[in-house]
Amino acid sequence: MAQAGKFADKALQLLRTYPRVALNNLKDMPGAYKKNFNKRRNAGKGKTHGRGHKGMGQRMTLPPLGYEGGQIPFHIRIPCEPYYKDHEFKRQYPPFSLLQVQRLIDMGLVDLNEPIDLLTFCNTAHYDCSIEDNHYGVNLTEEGADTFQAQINIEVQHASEEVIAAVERNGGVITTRYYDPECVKAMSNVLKFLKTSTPIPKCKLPPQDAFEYYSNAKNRGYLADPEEIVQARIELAQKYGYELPEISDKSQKELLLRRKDPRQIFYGLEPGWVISLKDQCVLKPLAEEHQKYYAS
Amino acid sequence: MAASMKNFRLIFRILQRTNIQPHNTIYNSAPCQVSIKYLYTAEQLPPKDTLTQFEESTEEFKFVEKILPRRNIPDLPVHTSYPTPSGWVPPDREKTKDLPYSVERNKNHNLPVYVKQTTLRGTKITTVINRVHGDIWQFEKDLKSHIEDTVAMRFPLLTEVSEVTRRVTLKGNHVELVGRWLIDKGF
Repeated sequence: MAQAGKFADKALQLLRTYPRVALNNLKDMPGAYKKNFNKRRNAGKGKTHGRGHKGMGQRMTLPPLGYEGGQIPFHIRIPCEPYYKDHEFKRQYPPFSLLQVQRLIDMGLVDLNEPIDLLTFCNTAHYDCSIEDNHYGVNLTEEGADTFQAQINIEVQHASEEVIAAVERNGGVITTRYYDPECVKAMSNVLKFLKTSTPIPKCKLPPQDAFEYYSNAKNRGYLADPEEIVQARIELAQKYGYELPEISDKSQKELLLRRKDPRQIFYGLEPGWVISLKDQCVLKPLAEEHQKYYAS
Repeated sequence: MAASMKNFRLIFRILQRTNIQPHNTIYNSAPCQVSIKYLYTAEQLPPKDTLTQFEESTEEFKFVEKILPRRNIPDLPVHTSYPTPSGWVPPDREKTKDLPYSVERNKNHNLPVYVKQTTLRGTKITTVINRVHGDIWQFEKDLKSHIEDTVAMRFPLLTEVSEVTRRVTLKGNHVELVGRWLIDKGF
């Protein structure tokens, strides 16, 4: 304290004589309140102080903010900005995380000896997909990617890079696949679809704006070249720093190599077939026209 | 106006004749079902039996059985160690023997703790704990003291106990705190 200047010593001595700070002697800091003043008027300039002669400008009787003069109403004068145009026709992918997939596996709701797709998610009743809300399938998100440890053959509609890395790190396979609304309707409630006893629909190819996504090897698209996918798997393993595990078990290898045809919805059943639940049989059309239509 | 109405009536009459399904929505993206006699002339029309031929087989029905959803929730598989990779922990019966209350798991083997937004825009948020058996008042007292100790609250926590429906509600979102506390207790 002794090193402090002369004025500081004096100020400290003065402070000791003052009474304690209490509620009765509290005071506002200087500059706590600001005095309002007219900002429009420029006092530094002469004559008219920058306001001109006569009128509303000089007399401060300008119209309030948001006042509209003239005859043209605002919805004609202001140009249209359609940010949300066609929002009701855009494709929606309700999310489902890797943590939720792991929970389904832990609870025994998903059979690991079968490939997983949109149908298995809908059949567990833990995932809802309805075409009334423009749902086109599942978006697999990366929550729980670090703790994910299951070897699966999974098929989703949208997946990020981290999700693909998390699945392939454990020796699994992931593909992204497009389903048109008619197929999503059949898969979201299978029992309801089978009771209608209509032929299994032929899956359509993705629309123009989604074709690039599903034909890219980086997204593991189902229309991509399989040789490019092998390259992309190695590249992603180098990027994230893991080694692709080798699969020696034969039955496991068969499971991981199972894929659907681009026109097919259900494993083992082809489009165009009619299923009878009552007679427990499958009816296959033989007419040439039918076979030509349902061929991939 | 009159001309357009005339056109509309004409189109309606044609639609009635041809059995074309309305194609208003985007979901109804399947091709229109037009009866065959309007697509082909009488010479082009194939004979009647050719379009109705089919083959019947029972071999492929095993694939249909795999598609069908389960009727019941399956039994829990036995794991080597707990918690499981997804963080699930089974209830510990021996730990909770001497306690005067208990919380039952729901049908999906999870704890019955939920967040509810009762009013519009989520202005009133509550945490609900269902299936509380035994001394529900002691349970409420223990839970309240635990939350008040851990969370620095300016006012005592508001709670609501329903003895008939076996339910305890807390003001605010305390799901993670309550869940962690229940798992540590052994429920």
